[in-house]
Amino acid sequence: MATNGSKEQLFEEMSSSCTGLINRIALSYEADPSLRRELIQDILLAIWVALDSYRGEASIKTFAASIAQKRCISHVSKRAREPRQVELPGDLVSGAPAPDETALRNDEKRVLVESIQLLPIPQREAIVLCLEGFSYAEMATILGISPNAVMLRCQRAKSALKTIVERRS
Amino acid sequence: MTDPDLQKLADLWKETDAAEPPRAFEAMARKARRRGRIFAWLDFAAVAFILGTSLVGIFMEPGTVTMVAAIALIVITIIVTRKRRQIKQMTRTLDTASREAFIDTSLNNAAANLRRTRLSLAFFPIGVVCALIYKMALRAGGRTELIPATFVDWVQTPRGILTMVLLALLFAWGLRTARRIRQELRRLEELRAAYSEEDRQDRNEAA
Repeated sequence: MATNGSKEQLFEEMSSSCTGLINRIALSYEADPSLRRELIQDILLAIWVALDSYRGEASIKTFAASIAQKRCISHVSKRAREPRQVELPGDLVSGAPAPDETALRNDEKRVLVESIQLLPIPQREAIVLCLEGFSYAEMATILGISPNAVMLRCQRAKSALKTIVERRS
Repeated sequence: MTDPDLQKLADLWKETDAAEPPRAFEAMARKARRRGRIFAWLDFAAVAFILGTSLVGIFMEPGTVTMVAAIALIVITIIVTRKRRQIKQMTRTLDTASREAFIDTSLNNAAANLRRTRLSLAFFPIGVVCALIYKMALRAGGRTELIPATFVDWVQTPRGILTMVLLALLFAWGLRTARRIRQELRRLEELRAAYSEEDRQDRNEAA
């Protein structure tokens, strides 16, 4: 169990190292930017509350991803209306390649994000963790299934994602 | 991850973290921490406030009514605090359990919420009628035959209109809550079915 001081420290560590991870997990579940901001806020609050029960058995990144995924599932089941598709911002790229390359890259990103949002939730959470670079063992901890089942689920999710991406591009 | 296609997708995916810039994220983290601390102290503060004001009330205005009201407040506070502790316990389960347990717990909670809302909706009109009869009986000096006429007079006053509108809004809010919980239950059932299907496929492919 985290003490007050270590809880502060852990939260600092988590919020600085998991910014992208939490942003992207929220992005895979919520297309609306303002609702996504609320979702990120809820994820952070859930992590803060749950840090009391963190015993260091998994890395802080794995712990944060686990809480974020569950909070997102609750968000999806509780949302007032069915999801609506919202245009993603055009400034998703950070580098400065040629404008046509940027446009192409942005388009690829938009297609990828929209395709991930279309996957069934069990496959979506598996592929997001896979794309985030988690190992099968870490994913097994997060998803609460065996590493072998994680591997099979990732394969199905990847295949489904490729089909959707190809159909949409 | 050795699959080159997947690696390409992973690289592309990791470029999409412009959802919230780091500074905005830091601000959200600070806000979450602040909210977390406030929630942690809220229970204690609420209990201390209610108990404190009840005790002060008893000493300032000693009497049967004050005593009964204070005891009722203290009992309600204890019940509410116990309930909140149970909810906290449940949240911990949500944080640590497997997906199936997580969805089952969410389903049970949503079903319990729906039962509670339906019960409130069923008792709300009865409670309102009883409260109105009591109020009108007091106004009519306990003469039951004057209650309907007193109600008609009262309901036309601005206070009466406002009260009736507020009661109607409360009832509508309850109906809305029940509809939302039913939708939540439906989505959770769909989710459970989706997870069961994935598990079935995992087992089939592993065999």
